[in-house]
Amino acid sequence: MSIPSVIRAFTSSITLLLAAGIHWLPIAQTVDSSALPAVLVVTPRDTAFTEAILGISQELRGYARMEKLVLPPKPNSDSMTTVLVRVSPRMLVLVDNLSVSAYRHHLARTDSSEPVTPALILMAAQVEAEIPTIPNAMAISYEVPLVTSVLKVRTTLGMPVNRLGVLHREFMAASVADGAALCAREKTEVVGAVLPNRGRGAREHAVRRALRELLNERDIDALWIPNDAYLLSPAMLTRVWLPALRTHALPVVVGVEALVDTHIGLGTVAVLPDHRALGSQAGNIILDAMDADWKVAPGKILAPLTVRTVVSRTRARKAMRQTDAEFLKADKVVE
Amino acid sequence: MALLPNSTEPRNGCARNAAPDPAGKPRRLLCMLLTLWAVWPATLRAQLLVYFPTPRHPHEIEQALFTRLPKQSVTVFSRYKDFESRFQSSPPAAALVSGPLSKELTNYRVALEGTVGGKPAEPYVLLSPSDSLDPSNTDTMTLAVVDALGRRKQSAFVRELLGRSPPLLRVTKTEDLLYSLNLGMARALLVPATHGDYLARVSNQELNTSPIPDSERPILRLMVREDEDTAALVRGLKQMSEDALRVLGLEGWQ
Repeated sequence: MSIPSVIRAFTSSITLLLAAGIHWLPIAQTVDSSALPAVLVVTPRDTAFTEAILGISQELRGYARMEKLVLPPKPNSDSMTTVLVRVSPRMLVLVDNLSVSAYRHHLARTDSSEPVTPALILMAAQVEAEIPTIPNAMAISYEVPLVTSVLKVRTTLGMPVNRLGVLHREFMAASVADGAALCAREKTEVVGAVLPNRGRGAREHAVRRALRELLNERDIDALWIPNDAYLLSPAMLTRVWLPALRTHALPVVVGVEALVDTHIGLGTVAVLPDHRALGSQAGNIILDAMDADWKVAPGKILAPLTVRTVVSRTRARKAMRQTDAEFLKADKVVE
Repeated sequence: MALLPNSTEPRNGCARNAAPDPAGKPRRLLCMLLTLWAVWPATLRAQLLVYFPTPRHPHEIEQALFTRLPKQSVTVFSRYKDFESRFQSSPPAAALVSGPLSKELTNYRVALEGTVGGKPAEPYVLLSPSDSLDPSNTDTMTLAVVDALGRRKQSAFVRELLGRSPPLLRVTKTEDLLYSLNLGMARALLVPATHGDYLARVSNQELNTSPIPDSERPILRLMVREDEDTAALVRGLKQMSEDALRVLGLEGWQ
């Protein structure tokens, strides 16, 4: 079959489709985007941020012009300065700690008497530590609040969570206490086991003992494991968590999808921020700032509102004692 | 969330290893056209686009619809923005949407209306952890709403319901409303009454419901394009079981 005949076949198919009444309607109003205020999204080159940036662009469409600065792994502040001068943004979105750090370096080299462009920090780790270093900035945390996880587990698994066990180190005490207060409104009691940040009390045997006590003597009906790289190190996983949890059917709630993965087999449910919705949330904050003459609430940290769940079918069925349970409310189900 | 049943299944009899055939050329052309039809962007053949705020997961909505519409090309969206961009780029034959959104779809007519308690409309309420609220005293109160119409139209809809323009916290999904309340990001939720009932059931908090006067709006509508034959679609929806209807938040159609 020759190429022209393929083209003819193709065009005739389109003609048929159009004749069948399938057509495009110019519903969206045409907007001259160059006349719109600019918002600069500063991001590392990583596909992990793609969905969130798409969410921002969807929200801003027709209201503001989104420009993007993709940072190399070792950014220099000159390139950021050049882009800031060229784009002249009314607001910045700093995605990940790398962007926050690059912008901090840029600010250190600029005239401190000049007004600082409002900024929104997104998808950065330890945002509480980052936000005081950037003037006129607010943030959306990447950590899912405890109370959101509790509600999500309740609706996804259809199980009540009356006493939630939480094993954490001392540095998380304040955030766990805040979470516990919010959980109390939902009639969920948080049963904490606190370990010191370092030293003998945080070694494997101490973690093992604290975990066993929590599982066997505190009458909990679910366990939440915080995103603490030390507590979730490979050694801790294989020598403490997995052996201790093997004999229990409790739902284990984690904040990392890989921990629900069949190979690791730790979590029953992972409750994670929904990246696209995180972008939408950011977009709405930007548009609210625009409506308020580009004013933000400096220092304010908001929680991510929309979350997604990944459920381990095998472990969830075991926890629920229902061999045929399906999980239609879960966003993803793995074996 | 998009599921397009049958859209990529082979529909023709093109055998890869068939013996040479003198009439092969026209047959190949036919096969190509059929293949083109099979793999042609399913967007073009999407018959029914579905988006409405609901406490149900899109998987549940898909399952409820597919039981009665197995041959239809149905796409269920969980976010307004995704629905909007798909609708604009490729207008479907029909759309199953909330009452307020149905009014925005020009060139479409109402083919079916979902009912609860025999009525095709339901009131909106304010749901709050505090005492009952006075809807006429909400000017400075942050209300959380599902962004189901787009920014400007959502604001206009709230203004139409309350007669004022309180600050709004726009969320993506119905379940996010409860999180916003728990985290103190909103003072109250503005929702259809049935969603208020659901959220109050899911939450262990004491939540108060404050009715909004004259706030009845259509619940769910099947909108069809004037020039489309959607009789099978209408028939399929009307044959849905009570359980499946309940997933859509309905008791019947009219």
